[in-house]
Amino acid sequence: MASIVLENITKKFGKVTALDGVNLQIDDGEFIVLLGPSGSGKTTLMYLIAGIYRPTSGRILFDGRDVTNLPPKERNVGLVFQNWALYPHMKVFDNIAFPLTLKKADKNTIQQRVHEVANMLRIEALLDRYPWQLSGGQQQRVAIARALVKQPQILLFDEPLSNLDALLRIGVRTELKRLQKDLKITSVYVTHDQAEALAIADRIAVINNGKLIQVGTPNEIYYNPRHTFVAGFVGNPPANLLNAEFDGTRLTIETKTFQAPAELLQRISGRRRIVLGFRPEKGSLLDHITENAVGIEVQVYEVESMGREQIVTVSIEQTMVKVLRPSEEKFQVGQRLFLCVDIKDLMLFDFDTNEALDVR
Amino acid sequence: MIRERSSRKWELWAFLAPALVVVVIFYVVPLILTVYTSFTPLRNWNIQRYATRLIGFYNYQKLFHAIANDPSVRAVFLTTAVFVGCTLLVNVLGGLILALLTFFVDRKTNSIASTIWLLPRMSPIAVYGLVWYYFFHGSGVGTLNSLFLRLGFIDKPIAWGQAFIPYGPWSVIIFVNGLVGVSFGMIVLSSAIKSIPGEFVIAARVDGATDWQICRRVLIPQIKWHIMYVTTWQLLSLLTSYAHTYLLVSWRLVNKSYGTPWALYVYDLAFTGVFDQGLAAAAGTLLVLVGGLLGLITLRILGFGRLMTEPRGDI
Repeated sequence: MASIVLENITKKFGKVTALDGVNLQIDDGEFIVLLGPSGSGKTTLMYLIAGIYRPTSGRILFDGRDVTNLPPKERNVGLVFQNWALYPHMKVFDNIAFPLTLKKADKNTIQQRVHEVANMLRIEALLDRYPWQLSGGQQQRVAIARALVKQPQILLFDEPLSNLDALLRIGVRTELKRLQKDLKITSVYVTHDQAEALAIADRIAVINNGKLIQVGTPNEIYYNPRHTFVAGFVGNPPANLLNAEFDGTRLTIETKTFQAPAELLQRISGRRRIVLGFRPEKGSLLDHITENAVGIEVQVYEVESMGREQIVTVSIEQTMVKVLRPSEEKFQVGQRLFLCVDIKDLMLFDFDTNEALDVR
Repeated sequence: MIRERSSRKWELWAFLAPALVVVVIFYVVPLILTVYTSFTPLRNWNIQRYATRLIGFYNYQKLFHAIANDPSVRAVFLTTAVFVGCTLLVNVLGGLILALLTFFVDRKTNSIASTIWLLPRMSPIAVYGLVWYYFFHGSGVGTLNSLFLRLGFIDKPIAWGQAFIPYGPWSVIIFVNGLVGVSFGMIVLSSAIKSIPGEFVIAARVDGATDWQICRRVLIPQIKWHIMYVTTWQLLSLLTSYAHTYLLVSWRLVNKSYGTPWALYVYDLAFTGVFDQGLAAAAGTLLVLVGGLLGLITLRILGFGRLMTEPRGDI
């Protein structure tokens, strides 16, 4: 168990800056997810915590102790890989025992500890098999067992669910979260899957182009994105982002114009251009504009059923907007409607900095 | 249906034909001729007189008698065993060590080092032989001697390949041949190591493995098959190699008896001194038999059959 502090971490590979001035505090026992697209620097950040890489500048503290220059083996972290990295020439038992045999632990301790974690992960019956004789889900448990057997103070997960099929992924996700809560090991989990991040994290750190964009609970990230990148990356489908022009009283999207609600004026504070955003499930499609909402005329472009709900894609001239509606509502392609969004559900971003516009 | 099958068969043979022709002309026919010659008293290339006469196993009796009683032939026999065994060890271990070292150094150093180790392979045998001829030369001009003289290790030049029988000549021929073979193992094994996913090494490092532990417990077990392949290949080629030793012996750098492996002895019997091609053919046949046997044994030990059929890796 340990808290982690990343202080102004910059990592360069030659001319490429993989991480740029990252500051992050992770509490003892917290489950934090590093979320970002591929190439964003999230795996690099995790390898820095593991000690595989050294930062170009900045400090890393575990429980207040500076570990920036310590080799991996002195950091006591467990790492679970996307492809699980189980040694093909070793049986499951030897794979799990590997970290202990490196430390030259005595035979009884090894036996006891391996059986302990194997029992916890329900893989005791598999100890005598080779990795290639196991299913994906079983291999993943073995990989977690190998990370846990050395009783690490920090657990690191590098997209551990990506190689599992979709159905299994949801099951394993739940188990992982429960396991982490039971063991209370500080965990850092890297993924590009926003749904996974929302489901599993205590807090999410969204990272893009080597920069930390926003850190917050899943709710904060989802409902209160501080940056258009977060709004446009999290959610399925993600938030709609529309460029709007402001003339002092009215907002214009493409050629459609509507009165800017008085509640927003202060946040817009005279900007000529802003980015308007809203979650797909916050939009409604009606034949009139409701109260306390902004409305704009749209045309139904396509309807996709998702079972319980449907994704209705509507067009404002050239701009496509996705709205999530219950499947009971019926829409026809080509139908003209009003897209209404409650004023309280509107998100406002600065056009140039892409940062959220706050109520001040 | 039948026509289709037979045309497919033809296609198959058409593809195989060029390789088969080469194998038949350059391997099968000479092998048959050699075995046949070993049952004739052919000598001095007098084919008209001897080639049609059959004398049964006389050449083989003569050969085994010589191995048992002639000290110089026994020396050749012993030299072959030591030469093949030790050079094989140098080749495989050296190749493995270099492959592992290149894994841990950066790419630039890596390619420079690899090129240096390839030099012996790339240079013509005579040039390469000459380099070591001057290096081990028995006079004060020899590189090793002049170095040792200057450093004060020795007070007069030593003929390294002629002194300290048998270890002097053995060391020289093993050194010279070992250096040529190292690059083969290095190339095969380092490409095998490169194909191991990087996560294995990172996982081991996080678990606290040292470089040595990573080599021994993660990398080497995963390139076991490649190591065995290199071993078999080198064993068989060492058994039949004689070009370098031929030069070193004929330039009198090394002692003749203890610098001559079996393959060179076969050459000597047929083309120098006694010109006894019948006996040489018998010695050659023996070499083919031993080589074939060792090849079969190593393939059996390697479990070559298992390697070919068993599914490996992720399913």
